[in-house]
Amino acid sequence: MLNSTYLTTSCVNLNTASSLVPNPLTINSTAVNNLNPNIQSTLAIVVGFNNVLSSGVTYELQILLSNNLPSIGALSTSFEMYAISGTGIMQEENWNMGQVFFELRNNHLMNIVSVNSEAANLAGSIVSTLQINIKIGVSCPTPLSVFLFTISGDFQFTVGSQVTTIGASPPQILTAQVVSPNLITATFNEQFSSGRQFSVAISNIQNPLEISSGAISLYSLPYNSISPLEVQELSIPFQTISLSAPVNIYTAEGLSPNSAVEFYLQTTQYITVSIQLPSNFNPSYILQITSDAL
Amino acid sequence: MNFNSLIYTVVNLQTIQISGFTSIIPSGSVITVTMRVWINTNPIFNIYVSIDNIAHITALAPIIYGTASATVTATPSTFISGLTGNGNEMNKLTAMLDGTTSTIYFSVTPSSQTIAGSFLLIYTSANLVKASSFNSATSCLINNVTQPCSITTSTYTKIAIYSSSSSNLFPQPPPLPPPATTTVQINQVVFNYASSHSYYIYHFYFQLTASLASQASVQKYLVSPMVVQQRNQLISFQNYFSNNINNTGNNFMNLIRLVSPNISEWQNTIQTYQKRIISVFTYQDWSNGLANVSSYSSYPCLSNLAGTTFTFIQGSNSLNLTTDFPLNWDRINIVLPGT
Repeated sequence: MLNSTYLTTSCVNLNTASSLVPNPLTINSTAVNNLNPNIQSTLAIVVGFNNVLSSGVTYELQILLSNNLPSIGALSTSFEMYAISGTGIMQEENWNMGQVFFELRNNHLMNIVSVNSEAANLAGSIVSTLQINIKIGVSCPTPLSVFLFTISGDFQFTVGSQVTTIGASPPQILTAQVVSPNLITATFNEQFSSGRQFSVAISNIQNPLEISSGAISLYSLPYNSISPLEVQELSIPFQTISLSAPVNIYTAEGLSPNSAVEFYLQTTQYITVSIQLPSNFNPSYILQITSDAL
Repeated sequence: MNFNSLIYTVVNLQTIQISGFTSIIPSGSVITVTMRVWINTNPIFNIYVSIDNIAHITALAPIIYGTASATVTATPSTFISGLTGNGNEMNKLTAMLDGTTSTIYFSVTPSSQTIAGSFLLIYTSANLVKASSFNSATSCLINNVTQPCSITTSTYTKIAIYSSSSSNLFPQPPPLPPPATTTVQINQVVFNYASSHSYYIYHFYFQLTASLASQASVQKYLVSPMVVQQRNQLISFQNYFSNNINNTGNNFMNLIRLVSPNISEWQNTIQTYQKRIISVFTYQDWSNGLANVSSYSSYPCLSNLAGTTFTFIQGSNSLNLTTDFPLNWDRINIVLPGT
């Protein structure tokens, strides 16, 4: 997505060339090795634009990864970027755009004492708050400690998401930053030692306007490092459930059934179903009523 | 809300879907859906409400969901028959909205023997009330003989017909000694409203108790008659198969003109939510003339009453249509403006 000017560009399938006659924009080992032999073709993204990118204009390119967690154990410590013409001529390059989190995985499972996200959030309730009680298992080697949270599914951190600590003597948060809608970091002014226990809350997590489920990952890192000390990876459920609508069944006269006025078996009658809306009923919605008896 | 836009889809015998909402219904609003049902589960049935787009409902993930359950305890007996009213039409009672009162007739044939002190209670909508002329000593007739009865109205109306402690108004069923069938006539009652599909539905819950001493032997029955508004004869209402009222000059045989020159025949007031609708039914050969118009679409008509709408509704093509069952004929609904 080209931001700032909101230009739109077409997408081209760049995987059509063969390995013998590689297109300079084709994602394969030959083409990628021409740029940097250390780059794996599976970790390359090519974006083509249907208009000339002007010099001196700031463009923003957002790459949305379908899985922002490393499923193979490592991505890269450096994110590189090349600007190449359609004929393969390299125009510009930047070998150190920044880190892609996580270089390493480990088997240290962070001890989650409790988490409120298992209590489902209501879809359409706009935002929710995550609260996790954590017990440190691996001591941090640096004076400052870092937590990194990711969230998957249709949930997003927002600019209003605040990281706070809760407890009798909670660690002081030095900085917290929403890196992306799916990633938030917090740096604590404390060198966590094994056994340290406290709660962390993240507010204003954007809920999807539909029933959805996702997961939260939590990584404990030393300061200025991408190597986690211990993790909870995609193991903290976060989901929305339906907004609960109070439903009542009455007779056609609007009365609750009692000994005198009641529902009958096996005869034609009328019932009234009363539904109190917990949120707006959009015109595109359908009201479905199902019964196991009718 | 424009209820005319709502679309009711019967997905299966246990599921209905309602769509076609034209505007947002705010949070906190209450939607009521009145349905004609047949409950086949004993003793508890459940209602499940899902609100969302069809994809999410199909995926069993609606954004709004609710459920409720109710208990079904009554099994109907068959001791009531022949429920009629002023119009003498079965299961159809007439709401006399012109100031006169309505009458209810029915017969009671107990399915088990009753003895002295037997009594019949009828619970129904609070919109059925006794008229000011109602007399508890004379308004109710059992086998054409006046008997004491009472009508009380609170959240619902209760009609009570009691035998005395030494008599039995509701004897035994055949083949035991007659009278096996007891006729009941209740006069001087008032229906505040006539029924529609959603409003003013009158359940009649009959409860016949065999004796004062035998509360356990209670027979129950439920009738849901349509309460129709008093119908007057529009004597002056005429139709002309021509474009000319006086049938002179140029005639256009493909036109039908409906004329009601006597406006005094239209003076009775109709209720809120009600409209005057003239339905022109077509039968047999006429249906070809209406077939080129889609069902529920506008039909080419004109009226000197501004705001009159005309809608064609396609009927069934069944060859079994009879004059006794015209609701399945092709028809044009002429909805008159105002009340």
